[in-house]
Amino acid sequence: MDHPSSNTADLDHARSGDRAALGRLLKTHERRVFNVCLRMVNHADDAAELTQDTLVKVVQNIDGFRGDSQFTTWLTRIAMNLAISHLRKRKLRHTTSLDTAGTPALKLAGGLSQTLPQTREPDAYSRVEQNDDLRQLYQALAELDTDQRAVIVLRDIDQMDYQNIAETLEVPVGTVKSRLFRARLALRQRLKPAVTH
Amino acid sequence: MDPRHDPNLILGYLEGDLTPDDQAKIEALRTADPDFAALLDGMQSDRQLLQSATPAAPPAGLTDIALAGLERSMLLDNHDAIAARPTRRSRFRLAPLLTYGGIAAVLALTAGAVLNSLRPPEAAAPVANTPASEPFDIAQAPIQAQREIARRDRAAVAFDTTGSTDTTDALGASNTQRLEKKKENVLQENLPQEEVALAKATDTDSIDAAGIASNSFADDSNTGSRIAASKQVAQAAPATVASSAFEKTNTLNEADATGESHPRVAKTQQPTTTHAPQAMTAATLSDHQAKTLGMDSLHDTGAQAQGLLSLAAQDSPQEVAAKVALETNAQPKSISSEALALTDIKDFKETESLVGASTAIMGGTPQTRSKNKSDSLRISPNTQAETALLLQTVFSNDLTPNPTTTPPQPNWAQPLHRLGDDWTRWTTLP
Repeated sequence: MDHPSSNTADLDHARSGDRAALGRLLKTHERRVFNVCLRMVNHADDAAELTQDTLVKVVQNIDGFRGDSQFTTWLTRIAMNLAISHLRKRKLRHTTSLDTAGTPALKLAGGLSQTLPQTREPDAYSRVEQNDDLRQLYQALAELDTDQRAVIVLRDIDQMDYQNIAETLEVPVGTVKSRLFRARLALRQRLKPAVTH
Repeated sequence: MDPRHDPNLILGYLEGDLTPDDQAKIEALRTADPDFAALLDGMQSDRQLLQSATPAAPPAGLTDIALAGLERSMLLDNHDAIAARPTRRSRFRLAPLLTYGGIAAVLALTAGAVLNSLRPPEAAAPVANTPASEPFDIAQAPIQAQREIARRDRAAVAFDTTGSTDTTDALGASNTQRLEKKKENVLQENLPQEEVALAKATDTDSIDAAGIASNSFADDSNTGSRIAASKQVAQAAPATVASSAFEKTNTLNEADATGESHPRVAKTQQPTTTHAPQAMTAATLSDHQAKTLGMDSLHDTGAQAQGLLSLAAQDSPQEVAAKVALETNAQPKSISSEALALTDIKDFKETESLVGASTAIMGGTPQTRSKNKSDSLRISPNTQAETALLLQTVFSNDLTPNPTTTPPQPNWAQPLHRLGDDWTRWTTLP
C-alpha cells in the first residue's frame, strides 16, 4: 500500500489554508482510511461514513497537528478510534436489545446477538469478492476482538510497522507483538478449529 | 522456552526477521512437529492473503463529499453566527447594564438603610429640632418633649433633696400638688365627708367648725381620723388647739354619757411648736403597738414622745402633764393640762389601730397596719412615703428632727421609681 509519507509539502500547504493541497492530501489517504475502516467494521457503508468523519476531523484539527508522529499515523489513529467507537456503539446496541430478555426461550436470541455483526448481509464489495478464502478470512477477522483485529488490520492490511502500530494504538511495541501473535493464533483457530499447537 | 511457544520467534519467522540461527531452529521444529508446521503455514498464508488482497475502493468522491459537507457546515455556522451576532451583541449590551444596575441599586438601598440606622433618633425626629426661642406650648409638644420636661423636673427634685434629712423635703415641692390630690382621693374614699372637710381645712375656724365638731373619734381605729386629728393639731394655733381639744372632749364626754361611743381622743397638746406633733403622735401609740410594728425607733424619736408614751401608759393625766412638760423642756404652762386631764390616756393602750401618719412621723417606718375591724384605710407600702409627704404638708415646716436621734433615711428610689415609670402621669401633670 502506498504510504503518502512524502506528501509533506501538501501537508504544509494544507495547514496554511491551501484548500487544493488539503484536497490532494485527503484524496491520497482516503483509500487507505477506507480499507482500515472497512476491515474494522466489515461494512462498506459504515466504513465510508467513518472515512468521511475521519477526513472531516483531519480538516478540523489539522492546525493542531504538531508533527510529533507521521501524518499517516495520526490519520490512521483518528480512523481507528472512530471505528472502535463505532463498534462499541453497535455492539452495545445489539447486545442490549436482545440480551435483556433473560428467558430461556430467548437464550438463542442472545447468542444470536453475538453473531449479528458477522451475519449481516454482505455489501456490494463483499459480493464481488471471488476468493472464498479471503472472504472467510475477513469473516474470521471480524470475529476477533477489537484490539486483536486492529493489530491484524494495521499490520497485515495497512502494513504498518510495530512502532507506528504502537503509536496508533498508543500501546507499547511489546504489547503490539503479543497482541499480534494472539490475533494470528485466534484467527487460525477460527479458520481451522482443529489446528492446535 | 520451547521455540514453539515463543511469540517473538514465530512472528519473526512469519515476517522473515529472524536471524539465521533462529530461522534454523524454527525450521527444525517445523520438520519435527507437523502441527506446529501446519500452524506456521496457516499463519503465513493468512498474512500473505491479507497482504495480497486488493484494497477496496472507497465510494467515488468520498473526499469531495466530506469537504463539501464540511464547507456547508462551516457556511451554515458562519451564517448562524452572523445572524446571531447582533442578537448576541444586544444581549451582551443589556446584560451588563442590568447586572451592574441591579448591583448598584442593591448597594444604594443597603447604604441608605445603614446610614438611616446610624442616625441618632433625635436627628430623626424633626420636632426635637425646634428652636428654644420659639414659644413652647406643652400641650402641643409631642410626648417626647413632655417626657423631657418631666425628666428635668425629676432631676430638679433629686437635686433639691441632696443632703436633706427630711423625707418630705426629698420629694420636693413638685410632687406636692399631685400628692395632695392623691390624699384627697384617699380621704374621700375612706373617710366620712366631715373628716374630709376637716382634713382639707386650713384655717383655725374651719377646723373648729368642721373638724372638731364633726370628728367624734368614736372609731379610734380609723386611720383617717388620726390623720385628720394630726392635721388639725398641726394647723391650729396652740391656743386654738387647746380650746378645740377641750371642746371636743366635752363633746365626746357627752357622747359617752349617752352611750353612743367611747371617746378616745389623742393628746393634742402642743407644748412647743416644734415638738407638739411628735408628742401627739407618740401619745397615739402604745408600747405594744410600737413593738408590734417593730418600731424601735419609736422610743428614739425623742424624749418627749417616749416620756409621753410612758405617761400615757401608767401615770395619771396630771402626772403626765407635768412629766411631759419636764421631758420636753417646754414651758409648763404651754401644756394644756385640761386637755390631758380630760383625756383618758390609758385608753390608748387598748387601741389596736395604727396610724400611718404617726408611723411616718415617728420613724419613717413604711408600715401602716390596722388590726382591728376598722381596716377602712389600708395604705400600701408604696403610699407610705406619700403619707409622710401628706403629713409634712399638714405640719408645714414645724417638724424638726430630733437632733439626738438619727434621722431616718428616706427611700428615694421607691417613690421616684414609681413615678418615673408612669410617664403618662408625669406628662399629664398640670
